[in-house]
Amino acid sequence: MNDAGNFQLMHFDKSIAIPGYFKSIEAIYRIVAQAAEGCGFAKSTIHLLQVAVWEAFSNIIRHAYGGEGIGKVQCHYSVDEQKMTIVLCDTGKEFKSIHLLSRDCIQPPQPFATGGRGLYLLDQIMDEIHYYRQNDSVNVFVMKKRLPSQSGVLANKCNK
Amino acid sequence: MRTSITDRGDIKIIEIQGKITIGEGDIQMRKAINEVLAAGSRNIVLDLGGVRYIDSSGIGELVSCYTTCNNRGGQLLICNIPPNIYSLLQLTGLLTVFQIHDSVEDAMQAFN
Repeated sequence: MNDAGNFQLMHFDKSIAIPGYFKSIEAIYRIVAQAAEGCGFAKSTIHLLQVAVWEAFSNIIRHAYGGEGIGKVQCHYSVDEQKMTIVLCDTGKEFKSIHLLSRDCIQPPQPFATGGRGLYLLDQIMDEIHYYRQNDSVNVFVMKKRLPSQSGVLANKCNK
Repeated sequence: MRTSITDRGDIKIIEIQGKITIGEGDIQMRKAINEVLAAGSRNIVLDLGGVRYIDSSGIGELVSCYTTCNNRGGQLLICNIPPNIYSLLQLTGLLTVFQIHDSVEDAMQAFN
């Protein structure tokens, strides 16, 4: 398996590298749930956060790597006074349709469409989503969610 | 993911348990619906009470099953939707597309 590159642009509280299998999502679910609980997110929101991360993760396996067991995925998260940031990195194919992540392009799917809801769900659940190609080799997908309470005390608690 | 099919007269209850996500559950659900339709049943209740997770692929599969039923002259009612699944259907605007009921009994009454 290829190693997903280390994301060097900012400090993260926790990082793990997991194999690119669908079942590996459980490890990321645990990290997201633990961090989000510490931040005071409601259970219903934590579930939505897990859905968002799953959508991003399964896109990496399906589209960036083109299948299971091809490469690793690095998951990083951090919490500051205002938001929780989750970053997924992979070394798969570049995401060429970056324009699809623009808020203007993300539209509600047609009611009877069988596809096209993944990015829409991500956009609805998270407050910000960004994509970068780093060093022409690493895909960096950043998801941010504002904390339910933006007090510094709470954020400090999350970072412990 | 597990599915079980129960006969209630001319109504078939399909109970889904587990995940409806890509590679896990989405195809089984489609197979269960197709099996019921192939057996000639047209009134189907999909009980989602045991579903823990659903993703965009699973939601797409739900839509596909729903339209398949309609196209074959059947009717698919969905019931027992857990709150976390309900919120995703709400986010994707599908609550007004599907025929949703609180319980199997409510769905059966709707057929009657």
